[in-house]
Amino acid sequence: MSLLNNLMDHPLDEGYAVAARTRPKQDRPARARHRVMLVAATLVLGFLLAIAASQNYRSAPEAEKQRKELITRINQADTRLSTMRTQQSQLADEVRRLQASGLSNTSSGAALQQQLDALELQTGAIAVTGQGLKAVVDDAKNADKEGRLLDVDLQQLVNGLWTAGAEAISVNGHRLTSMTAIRGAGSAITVDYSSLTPPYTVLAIGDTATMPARFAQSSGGQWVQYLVSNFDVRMTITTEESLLVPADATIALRYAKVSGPR
Amino acid sequence: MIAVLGLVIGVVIGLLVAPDVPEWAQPYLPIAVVAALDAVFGALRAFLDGIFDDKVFVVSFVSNVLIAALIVYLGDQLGVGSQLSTGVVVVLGIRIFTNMAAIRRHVFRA
Repeated sequence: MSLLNNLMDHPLDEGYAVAARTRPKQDRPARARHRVMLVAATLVLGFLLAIAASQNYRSAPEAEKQRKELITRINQADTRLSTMRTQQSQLADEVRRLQASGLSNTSSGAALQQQLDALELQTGAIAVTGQGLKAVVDDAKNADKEGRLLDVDLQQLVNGLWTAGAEAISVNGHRLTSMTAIRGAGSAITVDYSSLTPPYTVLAIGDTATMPARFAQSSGGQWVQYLVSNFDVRMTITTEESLLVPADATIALRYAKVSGPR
Repeated sequence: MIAVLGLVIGVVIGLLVAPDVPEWAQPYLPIAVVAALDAVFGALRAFLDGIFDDKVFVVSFVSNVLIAALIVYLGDQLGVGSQLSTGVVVVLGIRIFTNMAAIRRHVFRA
């Protein structure tokens, strides 16, 4: 504690006392020079204060700038991702065309092609069109915590549509396949590992005559209806004559192989 | 009087020029300012005590700033930079408060 006591007892520079003691009684010859130094020191102090304050002041917009830069970079990466996805689906189309021209030469090839078409349709490897439901859901207008849609809500909605007889579903342009995950990441919902922004447009191809009623009766439909009536979540369901559900370009099995002889 | 004038001119110059503080100097600037403030309050108290000396003030001012910056620099090299700057701020803060108390006694007699 002696260090602290010393600090409290002698806050003043010892130099002042020493200088006062040794100072000659008469006035000081070097006074003028010291004056200049005094002014210089206070000038430096004022300068330091000012630049420290202005530095502090300016670093706030700096943080904002960095945030903006990050957002731009995210957007750029997003655009790049989507162009690469389009490119990939174009290439997949080309592969499919070449495959078809190769297979159509023989009769066994043609049978194989038919099988392939059916499988691709069901797995979501190719884009499909047809009549169906278009459901647009959005967070409540004053989206506090309760009125915000979660991943589980979207899962329920999609499951309700499957139950209602949907044959192909896409959410904001992402085709749902057996390998598509709908998950929450932070406050955003991700489908196929891309985060979505509301509103969520869910396209479901199926029988427009029976689907709306079956959806309303399904547990998923009731779940969403509950959200609509209790949390002001907005949902509009319309039947459409022609919907285009895109292909899932990334569908591929990397590890699974056909087991045994066919 | 002349000291206050210098202070004001310094602030004005700092605000007008508003130089970009280089990256390496940024951690030392606040500490240097606190050290300089300590020197100034010490000088003010010495002035009121009647033992003010220009030379002592200037020397203590410069050495305070340099030593504070040096300590933080050393701390940075040893990996305890933020802790050491906290320590420096605490010590200088205690000194400033004690000196301010003396100044207050001089000015208000309380």
